[in-house]
Amino acid sequence: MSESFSTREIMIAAAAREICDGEVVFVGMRLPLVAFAVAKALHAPTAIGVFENGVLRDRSATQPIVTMSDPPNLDGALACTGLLEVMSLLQRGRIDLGFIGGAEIDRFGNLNTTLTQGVRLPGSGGAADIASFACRTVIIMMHEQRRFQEQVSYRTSPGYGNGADWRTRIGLPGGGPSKVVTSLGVFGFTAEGEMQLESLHPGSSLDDVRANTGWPLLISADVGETRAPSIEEIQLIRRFDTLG
Amino acid sequence: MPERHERILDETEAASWVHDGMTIAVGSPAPMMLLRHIIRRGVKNLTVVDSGLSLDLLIAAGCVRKVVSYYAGGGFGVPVAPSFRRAVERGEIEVWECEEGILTTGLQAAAQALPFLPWRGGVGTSLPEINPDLKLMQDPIRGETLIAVPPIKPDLALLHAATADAYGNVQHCGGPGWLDLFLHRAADRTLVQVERIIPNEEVRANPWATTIAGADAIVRAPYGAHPFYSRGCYVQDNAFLRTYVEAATAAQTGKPESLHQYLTYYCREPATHGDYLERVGIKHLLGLYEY
Repeated sequence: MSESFSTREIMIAAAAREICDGEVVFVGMRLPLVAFAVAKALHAPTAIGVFENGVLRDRSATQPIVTMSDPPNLDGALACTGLLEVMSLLQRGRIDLGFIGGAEIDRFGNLNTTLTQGVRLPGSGGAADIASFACRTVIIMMHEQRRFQEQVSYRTSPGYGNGADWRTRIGLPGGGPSKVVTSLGVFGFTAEGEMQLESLHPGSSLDDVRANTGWPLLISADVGETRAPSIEEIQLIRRFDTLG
Repeated sequence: MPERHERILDETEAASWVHDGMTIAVGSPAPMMLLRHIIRRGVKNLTVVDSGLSLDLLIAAGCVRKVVSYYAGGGFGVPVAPSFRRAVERGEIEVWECEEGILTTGLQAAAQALPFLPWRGGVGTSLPEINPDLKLMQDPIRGETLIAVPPIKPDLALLHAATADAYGNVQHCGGPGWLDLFLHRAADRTLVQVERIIPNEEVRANPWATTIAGADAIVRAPYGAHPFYSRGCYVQDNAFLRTYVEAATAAQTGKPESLHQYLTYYCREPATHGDYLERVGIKHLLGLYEY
């Protein structure tokens, strides 16, 4: 018995599966927010969500939120601290997982959210800090060729730099990106810090992925299919993803 | 005992603190009543420490020369603040690029009157290449590579809070959150608009709730953060913000009429905050309850 699902829904399901029980997660808005709620309801009931504005919560908000300071994100929180508090958690290595996104990504998982060929983007916000300090990050992106560049033209949030032991050499304490969840599949990173395809979403092909990736992509030896969202996952996603 | 001086200004006096060419820092929620006065008065060449749609509105109105920018997101289906984007792409405004940790570090350096403070986030990024004020340094203790962040020192911090007494003792409802206290500590002067002025004894009844002791001036501003939220009072007016974002986005693609209309009708024509609220409408405002 299976239910049809959208690309957005499988991305949320895949992101939710990256959250382990008991972890402290730097959440963010939109898609990761839904993934966090789904993970809490299913396999990570004791995970704690941290927001840039200082909110720490171990229950999902019961109403849709547009900004992280909306009342439903404050109600029932464990604590409403401040930016300094959550930045300190990050720098002390107490954030297990941070979600980030970007306009462009490269083969070593570096992200650009600042500027591309003449186009001005929003800038870092806190993403550079999350990418530098979180024990690991999960990147969520639409998979399009213009977004998957061999090398980003501007590095907003560091991944594995130019590979190998780059992070250690320049003194970045966080672990770097562990997964990239895209509209076509799920990717991991080799020991050399290079992105590698791990699974294809149902309906997308290796050719799709190659055509939309701007460098010769590494493919894992045991590449499989991303597990389709279960009925339970789909129901939860639809319950929490009210803002579309 | 010497008499204490009340620090309450009316909205016009308060707005006259902002001059052409100043560096202003805008809190969160943005003190929109004061920002609309800045637009009405046609203040120019401001350097602005702000993010998001309040920044965007100041840019759309032509008040801004330079932005200390860590994030200029749009929301409502637009990833980038539309007027910010257009002005930067056309080279009309200068950007002092940073990110969140670097912003707070620069503000803290100003608060402590230090020539710089170090921050690690930004090492390994392109930031030091496009912002030459951010210097990569070797720390003298352990020899690690860090970024030396110079002070970010606003002339004036403009904030919105729930309550204050007449002497400038401010109590944010539900905590100051975000950057407000960083901005206050860094700035030469702090001007706070509040939903309500409360008796001094009410402040003394709960001094733990005082977030800013002795702001330089206080202005009455019921519904003064509209279309943003004010904790304890009202929620963000998303429909109203969406109207702005759509108008500003259309202006980016050569259709500036609705943005001009918005600026004229809501920012330039109303002489007072009361006139603005009348245009928004009492029924509409009363619909923005929190619970």
